[in-house]
Amino acid sequence: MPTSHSLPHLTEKDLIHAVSDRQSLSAEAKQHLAVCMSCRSAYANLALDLKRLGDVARDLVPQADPSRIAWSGSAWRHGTRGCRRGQRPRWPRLAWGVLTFAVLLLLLVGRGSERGDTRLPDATREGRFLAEVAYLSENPLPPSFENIVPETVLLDDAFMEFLVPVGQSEQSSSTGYLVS
Amino acid sequence: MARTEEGSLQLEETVLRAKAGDGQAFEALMKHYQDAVYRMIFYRVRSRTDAEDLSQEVFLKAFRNISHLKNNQRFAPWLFRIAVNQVRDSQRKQRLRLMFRWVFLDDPEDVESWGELPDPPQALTNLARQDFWRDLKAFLARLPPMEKEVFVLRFLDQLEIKEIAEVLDRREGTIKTHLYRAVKKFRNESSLLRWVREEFHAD
Repeated sequence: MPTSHSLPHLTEKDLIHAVSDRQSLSAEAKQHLAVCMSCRSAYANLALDLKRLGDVARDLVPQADPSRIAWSGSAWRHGTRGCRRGQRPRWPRLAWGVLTFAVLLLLLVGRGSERGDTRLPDATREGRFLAEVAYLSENPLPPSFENIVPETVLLDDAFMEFLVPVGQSEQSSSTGYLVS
Repeated sequence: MARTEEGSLQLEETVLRAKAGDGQAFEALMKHYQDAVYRMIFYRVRSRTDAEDLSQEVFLKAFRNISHLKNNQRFAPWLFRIAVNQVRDSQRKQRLRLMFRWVFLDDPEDVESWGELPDPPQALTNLARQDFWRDLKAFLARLPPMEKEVFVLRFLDQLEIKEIAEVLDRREGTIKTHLYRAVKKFRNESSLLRWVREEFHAD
């Protein structure tokens, strides 16, 4: 049977388990820890660091005002929190609530009136749109092309004769349709 | 916290009387656990006034629900569980308020303002205190929530594994796993470790 000295040193995992919960160590590890100076020192250092951490933290907690954590029996029995000295007033919360409500109300009213205002511009926009359509029906070309192509294309009689000879024109007018 | 057999018997009796509606018994319980609950909350909120208010809320909740406590011997873990949940609720509300910017200026009372307290801890200078809390806060911020909670409960609140398991309603094995990971990270947290060692090894 191996002696405690011959047992392997504690691993990091063992050490951490030892400081977290000594009970979780195996019997062999506990035995080794009892006799091995090196492992005991490593364990003690880590345990001390963690203990000191707790001690420092506890030392640095400011003293509580006992009157603020006090039993107020009758009030608690009646389902209220009781009146504590130094309790923060509730009016700032109320004020914030009222302010938030007012802002929301203003936003809603603002939106409503904005919507009302958009009706007039809509009518104006429609008028502008129709005017633009009328302009485009008369001036289908972009302004830059207006200089290239004359405003009105004058078709002379010869060209018209070429397109639709007179005889055909008469025939079509008498029959009501073009004869090819 | 009394951990002796006699002490625990007395406590159990007090709990029993408090459950029966004895106000004085509940007041005695409050006095007994007041500091522990206040400290526990303070570690998490780092504001004296908030910790005081939340402590009061915790005891009020405990008073209203003490009839639901099944095992009188487990009053402490039950009370700490209320405290941890109360802090969580409060932080959730705080986050919500932050989201909508409904935070009052007097709400965050961080460690920097402790110098104005009437009874500042004399052991360390203000600067050192601030350094310590800053380093601890930074370290805890790097841990996942469960590891952080388990670490604080074990080494700052100094609860046993079994108690932590009850407070967090988890299995002891799960608590050990989270604790192992947290301590491993703590070992590599040179700034916090060095600070603790330097401050205290010197004297």
